[in-house]
Amino acid sequence: MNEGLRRRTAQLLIVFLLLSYIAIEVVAFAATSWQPQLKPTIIIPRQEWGAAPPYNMDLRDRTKGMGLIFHHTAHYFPELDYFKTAEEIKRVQDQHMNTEGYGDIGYHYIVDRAGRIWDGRSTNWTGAHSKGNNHNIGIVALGNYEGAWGIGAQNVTTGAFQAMERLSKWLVYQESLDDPFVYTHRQFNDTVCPGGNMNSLILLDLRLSIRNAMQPAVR
Amino acid sequence: MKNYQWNIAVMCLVTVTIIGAFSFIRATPHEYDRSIGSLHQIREMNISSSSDSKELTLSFAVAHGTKEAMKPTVEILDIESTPLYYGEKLKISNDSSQGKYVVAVNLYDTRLQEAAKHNLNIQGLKLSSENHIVKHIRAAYPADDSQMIIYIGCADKPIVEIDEDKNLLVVRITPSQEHRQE
Repeated sequence: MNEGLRRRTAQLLIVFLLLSYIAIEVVAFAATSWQPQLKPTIIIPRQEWGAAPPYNMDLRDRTKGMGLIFHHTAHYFPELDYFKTAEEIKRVQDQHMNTEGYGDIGYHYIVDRAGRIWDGRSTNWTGAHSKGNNHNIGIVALGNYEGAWGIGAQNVTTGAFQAMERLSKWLVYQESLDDPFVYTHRQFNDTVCPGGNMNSLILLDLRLSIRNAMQPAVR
Repeated sequence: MKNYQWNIAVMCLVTVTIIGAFSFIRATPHEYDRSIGSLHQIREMNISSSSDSKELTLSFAVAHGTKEAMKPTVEILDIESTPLYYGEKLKISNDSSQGKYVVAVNLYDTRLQEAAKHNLNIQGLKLSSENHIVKHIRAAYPADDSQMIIYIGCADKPIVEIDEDKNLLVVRITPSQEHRQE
């Protein structure tokens, strides 16, 4: 075999090995990583609920967290109406900023009872929702899921839960979070938040839903 | 009694029973404001002092949405070396008007009713310290949606006693020297 042919054969062999290696890596990645989630259909921006601008000097840069922490507002709210919901979110921000002295609404996302997702505090900033764990993204569901004296606790609507699923799957992918992905406030602090009617829904149903979404794409 | 009369009587009894049961189930203590929510609500704060000592007593009228007690925790902090919450941030205060020591009463799942917000807010309430130990009282909210702290600024190192009754939380603050003399 002359020199030229030998060289060409060697080059082809190297290219073939390189391509094979790349192909194996791609297939392995597709088999073990989960389907990337598109951004939830709509995240309603801050200006839609009339958000006041944050006091940036009171806010701190956020580092990567270990999961998403769920809360409730503990304020009875049965409304599905868009504008009433926007008012309620504004009320929460007013309370956080004007009564409690925060730099902005404490949560990063808000889920309403109609299944809409609203933008809260920027995820560039540490939250103000769970002391000692505010580097985690805080998500609040509007409503009181604990009630008083064992009565008046609201139930999580189907739409709200589906919104939590969509939002969680997207954020878990975006943030590269590990199992168990989602938590509730009462796991970290002395509180009943997010209420008895929501706690097991997050820890059991939502976690299971996210785990199922992570099944290998190639079987 | 005729049949139809009996039926009417039974229907009235059943209706009254249903309405009564419904009202009973829906009943909550009248001081508890459902629109505010949370497990406990502070309705108002009263301040009383003793004429022959520097002791000060803060009485908080409380409404509950649960049978669980408030179970506040108390810390005595040195204001010059311990950061306090201002908004969502912890900062060392250089404001001597708040006193040398701060009693931090930590409350959980507690909100203020409207009447309590007048005296208990983040701006604070300054007290004359001539007759008693407390100089300043303010509410603070750590970066947590379920916690509240009542900071009680004291001129001298205090002794704190807390009593929790059914609808009353009493915080008694005494100078430590006075306490030793007793």
